[in-house]
Amino acid sequence: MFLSRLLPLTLACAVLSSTAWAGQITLKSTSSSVELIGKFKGYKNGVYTIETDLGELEVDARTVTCEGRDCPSISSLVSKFAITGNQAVIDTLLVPLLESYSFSLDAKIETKIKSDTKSNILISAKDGQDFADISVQSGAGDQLKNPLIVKSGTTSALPGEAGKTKITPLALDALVAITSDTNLVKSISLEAIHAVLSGSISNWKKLGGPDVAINLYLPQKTSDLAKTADIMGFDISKVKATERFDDLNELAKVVADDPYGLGFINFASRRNATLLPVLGSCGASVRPSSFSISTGSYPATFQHYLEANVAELPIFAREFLSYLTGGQAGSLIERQGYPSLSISETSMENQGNRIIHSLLATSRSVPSSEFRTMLKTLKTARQLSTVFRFNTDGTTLDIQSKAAFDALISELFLGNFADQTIMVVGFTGAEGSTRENKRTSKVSAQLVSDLIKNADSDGLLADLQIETLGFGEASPLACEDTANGIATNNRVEIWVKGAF
Amino acid sequence: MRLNDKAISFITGVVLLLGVGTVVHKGDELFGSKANTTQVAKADTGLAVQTDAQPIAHERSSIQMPDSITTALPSAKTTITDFELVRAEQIAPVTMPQPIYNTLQISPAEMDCALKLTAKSLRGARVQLAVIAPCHKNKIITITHAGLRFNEILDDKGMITIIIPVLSDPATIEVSFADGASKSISAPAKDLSSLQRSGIAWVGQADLQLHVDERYIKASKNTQITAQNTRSYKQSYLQGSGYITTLGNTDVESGAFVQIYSIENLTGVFVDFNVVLHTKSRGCNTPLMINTVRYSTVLGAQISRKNIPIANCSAQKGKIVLKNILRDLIVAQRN
Repeated sequence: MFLSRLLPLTLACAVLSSTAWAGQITLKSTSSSVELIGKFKGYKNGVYTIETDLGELEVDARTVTCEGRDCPSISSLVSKFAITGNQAVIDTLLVPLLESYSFSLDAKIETKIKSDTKSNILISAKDGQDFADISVQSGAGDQLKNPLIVKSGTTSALPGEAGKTKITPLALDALVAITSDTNLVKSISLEAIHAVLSGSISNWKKLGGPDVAINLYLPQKTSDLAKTADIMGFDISKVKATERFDDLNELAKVVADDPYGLGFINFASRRNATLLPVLGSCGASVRPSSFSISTGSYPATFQHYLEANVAELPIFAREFLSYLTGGQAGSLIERQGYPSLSISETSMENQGNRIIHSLLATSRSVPSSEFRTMLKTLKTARQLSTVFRFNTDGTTLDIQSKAAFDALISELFLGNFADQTIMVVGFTGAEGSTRENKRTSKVSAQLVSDLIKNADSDGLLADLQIETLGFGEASPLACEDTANGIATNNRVEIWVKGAF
Repeated sequence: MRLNDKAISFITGVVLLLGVGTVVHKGDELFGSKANTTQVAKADTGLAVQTDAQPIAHERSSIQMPDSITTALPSAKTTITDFELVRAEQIAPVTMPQPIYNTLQISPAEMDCALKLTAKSLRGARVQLAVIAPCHKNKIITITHAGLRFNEILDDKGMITIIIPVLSDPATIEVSFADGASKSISAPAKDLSSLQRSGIAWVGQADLQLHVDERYIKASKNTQITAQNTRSYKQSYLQGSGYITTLGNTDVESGAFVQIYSIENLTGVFVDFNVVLHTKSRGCNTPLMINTVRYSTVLGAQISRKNIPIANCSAQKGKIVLKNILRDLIVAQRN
């Protein structure tokens, strides 16, 4: 675990003079004979900072002992920090991830439960040395020291990284409509969702079902999900509900057992309730799934993320944030029912709905030969869940796409798509001329191709075959009667196919 | 003959020699004496038995059904009995099952205080542990596996047989007594990777019960199972749902207990857990400390300790439902 930190230490040893000077300290590795000598600059949150001939180095205090007059007096190396925010996400996602990370360190975990909303998690080594003391508290928790705050928001509403505040994406999610599997209504339009939530539709007959009142089940008005839904334009706090729930899993259970029940819930809490596809005004429908949420083709998609002042975070918390971007965390996130930011793939064979959508929703100005070319090009390839969208400036990736880009680059560096052709495929909405849209889509795809090539400063991907394509407005994912629909369709997808 | 041809001839010779050697060697295995081989019922390639019990020379061992093995009995002085795994061509006639310890007939002359263990791998990553401790009759035994432990009491012959759902492959099980006598044994659990396990372990007088809600499993008929209203491995196997195993003897004062739920790895599975504390139990007012255990193929066995304050426990009637102690088991589908 600490090997990577000891590497700079070893290098430093090779070149540093052993002559003592004012403020000099010696950091000795506890696991080897490596020593690092330098001028003490500071100690904070479990990290020594020393000035050496190689420049300023940060050394994990858990891996070294300090010798010298200027060594600080350290009472404890235990990382103390807090986790606060959205309780459902803390309970169902963050605590399991924290446990998983601790187990990956072969550490012991002890949870002291104080109340339904407060607990302390102690993480210690097998030999008893404490690693971290974490206060977990749902709600605002503003008074907590060094908090990792669990928040939720739409991709467009996510705050940018300002100053020392770092945003770490956790998982994706979506607001979904659920019914019992015995319910005859098998899809719902966005308009109908708004009508139900405003109270103007209260009978299944208006949704294509029997003449029976809708039993409407919703989260509590003040819940985190209600707040997130409100940001997305779905006000679930005003309508009179049959019942409101604190526990979203309980909501899903009740809806699954009620043939006339209709519930609104987040995708990850769906349990065995039936998810209703959302029907667009142009006739196409999108089924809520991990893939449609990951690619942003399902409307009402949002993201859970962690917000933290990284400079103030102790080392255990910082390492935990790094762990969250890895494959093991991604696997656990998916098992917990959340679409993760890690890459999955699907073939054209599984995208019948997309082809139907292309035919129903695409403007008539797109020649049929363009469809044939697109289908012929993509039919033997697999689409990755990685989709890029740009900020309004048209040249920089939005925050979700940045995270997706990092994940893609990691996969490429790991060689997971070696011997395959990466197809960077641009698409646009239907606004503007067909010819201009095709050109724009190719330009967007070229931007992404350039970003990939620029990320490879060491030439590790020199053999990677990249094909850049643009099909303009030929394959919309959403109806373009809303700004969100237009934004959804302007995108760059990544497909892969065998190179031979 | 040119040099290349010579080289080819030499290599061909070596290959032939090796080939003949191999055939001869295989021949030893194929055509060797079968005098000491016993075939019992149908085969299970995932089955194995490890034992340190001293077998009786030239007597046939009968292993509990329904599994099947071929047993190569060693000589009288050998301390380890080897069992060779075979896949039978057809299901052999079934004989009445016998407890494994009945077949290990220990004559008074041979009886000593040695602690003897037998571990037999069963389907579903379970291990049948048989303990023979003639000098620990009616004594409390502590059984430890993968960081979990529980107590049982040996019978008046100093024996016990117990089936343990295990959390590692191979599964190492250690037994110990208050006087310091201890021994461990290992057995394979090859199908562990096809399972999920979740459970609780605790020490003391608290009357705890794991409650499992399987309503999301369509195949499940009785969707609520508990340590009392449990389900057998066979029932769960047949209907595609899970089962609870309860380990630990309540007659042991402040004993250690384990309750584990097991289910096959399926996607789209949601299982809810609650831990119920019965408020009439003697341990009601003491601080409650529970170890939660979880096994998954991806993460292996994970044990986490939970300290739970129970305010005015005995003043509350009946039982207290402790939610969120054991995390619900969710195996979501990717799409």
